[in-house]
Amino acid sequence: MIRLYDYLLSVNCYKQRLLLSILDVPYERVDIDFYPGWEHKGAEFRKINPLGHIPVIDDDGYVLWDAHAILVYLACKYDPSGSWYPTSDPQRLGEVASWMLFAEGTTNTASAARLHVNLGYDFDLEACQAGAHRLFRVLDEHLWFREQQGQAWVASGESPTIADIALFGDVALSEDGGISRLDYPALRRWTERVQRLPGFIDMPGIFPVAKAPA
Amino acid sequence: MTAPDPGSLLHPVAGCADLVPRHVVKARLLGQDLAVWRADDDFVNVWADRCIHRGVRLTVAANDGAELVCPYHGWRYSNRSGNCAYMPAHPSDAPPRRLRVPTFRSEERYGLIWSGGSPEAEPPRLPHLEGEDTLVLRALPVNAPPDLALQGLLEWPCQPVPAPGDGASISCDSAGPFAVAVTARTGGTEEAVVHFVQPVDGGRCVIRPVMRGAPAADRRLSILRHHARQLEELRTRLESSAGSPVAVRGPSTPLQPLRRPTATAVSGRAPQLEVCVARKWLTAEGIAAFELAPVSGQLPSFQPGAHVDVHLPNGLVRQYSLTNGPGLTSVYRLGVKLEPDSRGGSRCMHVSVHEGDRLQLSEPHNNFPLRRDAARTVLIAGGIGVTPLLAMAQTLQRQELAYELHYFAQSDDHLAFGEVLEPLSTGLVKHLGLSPDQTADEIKKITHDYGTASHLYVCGPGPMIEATRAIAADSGWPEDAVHFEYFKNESELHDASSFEVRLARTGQTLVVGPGVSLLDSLRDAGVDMPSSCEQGVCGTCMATVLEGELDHQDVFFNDSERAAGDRILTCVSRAGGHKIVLDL
Amino acid sequence: MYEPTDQASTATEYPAGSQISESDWHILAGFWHPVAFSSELADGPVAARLLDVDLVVYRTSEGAAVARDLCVHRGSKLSRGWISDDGACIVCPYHGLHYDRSGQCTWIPANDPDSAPPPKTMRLVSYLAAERYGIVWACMKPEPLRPLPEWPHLDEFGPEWLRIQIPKGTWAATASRHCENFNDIAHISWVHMKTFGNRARPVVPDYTLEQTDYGLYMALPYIEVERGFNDDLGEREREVFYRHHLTYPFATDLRVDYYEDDGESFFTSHFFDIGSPVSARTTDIYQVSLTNIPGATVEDYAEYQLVTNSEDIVIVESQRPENVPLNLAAETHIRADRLSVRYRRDLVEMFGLGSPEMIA
Repeated sequence: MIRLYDYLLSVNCYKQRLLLSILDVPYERVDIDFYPGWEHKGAEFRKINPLGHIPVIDDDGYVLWDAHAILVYLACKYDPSGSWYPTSDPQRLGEVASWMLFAEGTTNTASAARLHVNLGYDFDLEACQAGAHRLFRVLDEHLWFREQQGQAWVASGESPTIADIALFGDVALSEDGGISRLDYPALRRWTERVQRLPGFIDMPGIFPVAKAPA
Repeated sequence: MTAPDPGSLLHPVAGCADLVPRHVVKARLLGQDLAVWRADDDFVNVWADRCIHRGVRLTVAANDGAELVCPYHGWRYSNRSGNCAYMPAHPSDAPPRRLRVPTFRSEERYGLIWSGGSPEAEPPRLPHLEGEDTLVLRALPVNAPPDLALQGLLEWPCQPVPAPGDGASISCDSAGPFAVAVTARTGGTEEAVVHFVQPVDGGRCVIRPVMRGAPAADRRLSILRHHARQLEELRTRLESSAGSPVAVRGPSTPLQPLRRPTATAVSGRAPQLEVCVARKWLTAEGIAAFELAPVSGQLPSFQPGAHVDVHLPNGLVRQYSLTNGPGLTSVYRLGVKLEPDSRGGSRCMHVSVHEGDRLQLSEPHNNFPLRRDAARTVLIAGGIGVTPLLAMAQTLQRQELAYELHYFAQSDDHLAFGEVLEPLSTGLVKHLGLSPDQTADEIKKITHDYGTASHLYVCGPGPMIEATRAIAADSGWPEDAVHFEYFKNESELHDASSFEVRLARTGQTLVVGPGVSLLDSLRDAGVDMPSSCEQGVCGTCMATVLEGELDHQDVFFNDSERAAGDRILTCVSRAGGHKIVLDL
Repeated sequence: MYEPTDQASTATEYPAGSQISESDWHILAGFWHPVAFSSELADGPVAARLLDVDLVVYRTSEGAAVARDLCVHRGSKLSRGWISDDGACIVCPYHGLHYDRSGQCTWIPANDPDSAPPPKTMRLVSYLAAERYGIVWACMKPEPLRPLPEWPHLDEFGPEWLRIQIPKGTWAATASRHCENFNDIAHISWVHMKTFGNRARPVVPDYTLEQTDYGLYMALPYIEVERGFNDDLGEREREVFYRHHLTYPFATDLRVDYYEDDGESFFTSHFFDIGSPVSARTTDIYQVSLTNIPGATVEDYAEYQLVTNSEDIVIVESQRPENVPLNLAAETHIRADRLSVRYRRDLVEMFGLGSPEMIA
């Protein structure tokens, strides 16, 4: 059984819970005592991940950290359809890799702003917000053109990929960090599409959407 | 020439294509935050982005196709009217009709949704775009004042769409106070793009380009990309110069919220709506169905269980339940059974009212509200009593809440509104041709196992309602779980009393009759009384009492204020004796 | 570039540029508000902000103290200073001036040691300070309008109780919006679906609501859904009884009794919540809990509370207008809102908040 070292309010941990839920893979949560113990920074946890951050998975002794790396591993191993990480299609795979790197940017801006507001992390809020807006403009335009081509997801093709999962949490929780999505209508439509995926689960701060019409 | 007041014009707020099903678009116009959404009946709603209860943005509400659901307390707001439809904290209350989100105009033209403006304003009609198909290009939000963007567009002679060679002659012309047209002529061809500028607020705008003509599918994407790239360059320029001081044309008047065409300052039971019989047909043996469309404006929304007073051509007033499900908002649909001993009401509807005729109606009233929080909802209809229950069943079905509709009728031919019953098949149970005793036996079976959070609604002939209530009580249904409607029933408030009110300042004396609130009586007498909740909570409709015993039915006053007896909430409270004097 | 030479025009209490109206500011300054958790003072002085005034919070051997974060000598931030070795004074980091708990300057190191002691007028702008419930409180007026909240449980509790201090949150919302939300019942079934909310129980009964000498008391039963934060028994309904004691203006003791299956015995948690108005639209949230639920841990409880807060924060931060409309006609109220209506009325009628825009 997969063990996920997890914290409910962490977006990077949420990305793992979301993919595991969509792929319907059972796992065991190991709740990290973020507060007051800062357990992930402690000596014990550093034996698991010397970088002292979560999420980390332990899949029957195979230990992996870094949110986006774990998504790659989980999709490759537990998605029999091969659609979430399309290794058989070099072009789509390249796009997925590119947007996963882009998601590092949204994590370091949009999600960092949220950590500052909600949990008092010492980040430069204005710089984080400005950075997030720069990235959201790019992503909104990209998704708008995808829609113009009759496609719904970040990477080309008919089905969503882990690039959607990697980006979703940062975008969907951005207003927590004071980043309005007024200017990004295509981004707002895409977050709702993700929320309507079978197996979708949310986290605190994400508003439920109505079901798609029959 | 003075520039027109931006607040008097219509401006684009979204592209039609932005309004995908079950979605709420976030927009902003002249400093007003907007929630824009398309209902399943294709009506586009432009609302203030604020729940009237505790101010939460409605752009985070869920669009269920007919209602927006606020995530804070689950309040529901109706398509078209913006009326509050349901408050889960008080599921057995019908929300007062005054509870509504401010709504704004919404017009569609050139693939854009237009809003704001004075009531007579029209979206612009431009020769550049008339008479042909149009293509909405990618809109671009710009962090620069609208004026700066308009000026920038005028000085931006870019080839609007990709074209071979570069011999085009390009001109940029103002096309109204908030639009710039770009025309490019090469040889015999001419391309035109109009850039509408949506004034978001003093420092921001959205450029919304619309191109004339529908390009071939293979050219479409390259045109979209080409134009988006060009506009992106302009945006970079605009935003880098936006720091310099610019005379900002701010809104001199705020956006005008729409008023409901019927929301005149009267209430009570006077006719307020003029409708036209759009369709009349025989829906079952002896039952005529009517669809009533508004002569102008929109019909007020209502909740399942509601009825209207119909003022008949022969002078009689009759109450008929509305059968509409949540999707049907353009007409009121009624069913009228021809009563053999009719004193002229049903006969008049059957015989004298024809398609195309005009009728006067009251606004909908609801004495039979539906709870949407029951674990099990049992609807029992006898004959024509099915009408309010049809509205309920359709609402429950749409929200995927468990219900059973037991429809007792003489035969298949006596079942009304077959086309509505058809999609209800999962919850519908027909009971045909039963005697009163057999009916009672069926009702016993239906109600034999009461479970908590079950609710029973019955409508039909008087004896059947009585029997159902008795049987349900025997089977352990508590009184407040059994709902029924006799027209003119007593509501939960104790409003059966009748009393006199003397207005000290004007010297008028009014009589407040049973079933009429003091507030309504005051308004009928021409007193301009403010109100908000109309439930005795908020204190807005307070009046000062000079004399008389009071029957306080509010929850606003505390015990000492109540004992002082010098103020009254006119929406729910009444005289304790036969007369009070108010300082009005 | 320069401050005006005419000091009279600048020396007011009301901070320039504050978004709080001057009338409201003077009223709010008369209440006690938290400025730090006691635990924050372990390593020396800390900076705080209350009603747009920058403060230094420090603890000497005499007790906790609060003053403007401004050395009267050259305007340095005292919060960057330290406590003297003898524990008696805060030391300015610029020139080492020492100030005691009362704010009196006691030593100017640059002066000849034989010269006269610093004049009595050389003192910080100090405020009333109190330390209670593990929190340092400040009042910026010499006569507080109301005493500190009386929460005897939190002063002294037996070994069966666990105290949990929640990390301080900073909400982009007004203290009143936060306070109303903390005392709002109807939203539980909608907003708290990850923690204790029960979507199947949205109805708010006619609850007890009483005006008290400290503020308001509200009591009512609810049926929560327990989702395994406090035990491993899985998701299930649980009967609870809520007692809200709201001390004006922004402090609440929420007592929750959790009933066992027998319907009689119960365990209790207290959630103490105080909003401290940093500025017009920023509020620091101080929360402390007590519980006697067997086996409860600080970690689990803190996470439970933080998740609960994160469910609320997006909603409360989105409310418009940001200020609570004290004019009751400006929002819609239903019977479930009786507490909020009474709260708004009392803020106006008892304290005069919302003036002059509001009072006719």
